[in-house]
Amino acid sequence: MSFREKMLWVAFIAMIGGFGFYFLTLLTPIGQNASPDYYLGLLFFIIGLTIGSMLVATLILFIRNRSEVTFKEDERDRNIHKAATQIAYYPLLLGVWGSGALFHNGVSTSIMLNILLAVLVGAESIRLGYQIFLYRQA
Amino acid sequence: MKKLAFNNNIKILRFMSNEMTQADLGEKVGVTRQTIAAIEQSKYSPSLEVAFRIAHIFGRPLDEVFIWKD
Repeated sequence: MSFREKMLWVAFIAMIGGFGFYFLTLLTPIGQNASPDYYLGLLFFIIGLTIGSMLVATLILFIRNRSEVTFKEDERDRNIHKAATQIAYYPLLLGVWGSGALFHNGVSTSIMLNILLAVLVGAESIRLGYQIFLYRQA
Repeated sequence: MKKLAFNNNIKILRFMSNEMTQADLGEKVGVTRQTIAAIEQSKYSPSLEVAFRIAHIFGRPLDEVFIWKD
């Protein structure tokens, strides 16, 4: 497995784990009755934890794969990146338009922001997941 | 997985070139070892430029390195 692929796994797991925890917490009774400040605090905590865990994992991978770190993205990497970005674009587009429709139907701003965040995290997870899938395939 | 319409002799040519490794070939071509492995296993179709670079490194014409399946 290449350094680039390992980095994708780290980003994918950190994103699914971190934001998965955030959204699951929002669905619990505590999360549903919490104030917007609680959401915001939790969100910043999760973002900090996600970035922190990614930095630690990146550092470990950097030390263990020093020879591969300087490799530039080649044509296969670029093709895979492009294909995954194209796939992730459609759920992002649908999600944003869907969120806009919900907003016009009276959904509160805090729920709206969480839906937009979920759309963004979902699209990014699809992009990372599809990149990993393509690396495994070819 | 979609199979490519052509095979290749890269593995044989590498061994005939002083057992050149995939990493060595990748470095000469300007791609990663994983990309060479994917090309060798017919899992990835390289660009025309990379195909020509590979053929040039082995000093062979393109159609001796990549063989179209009839």
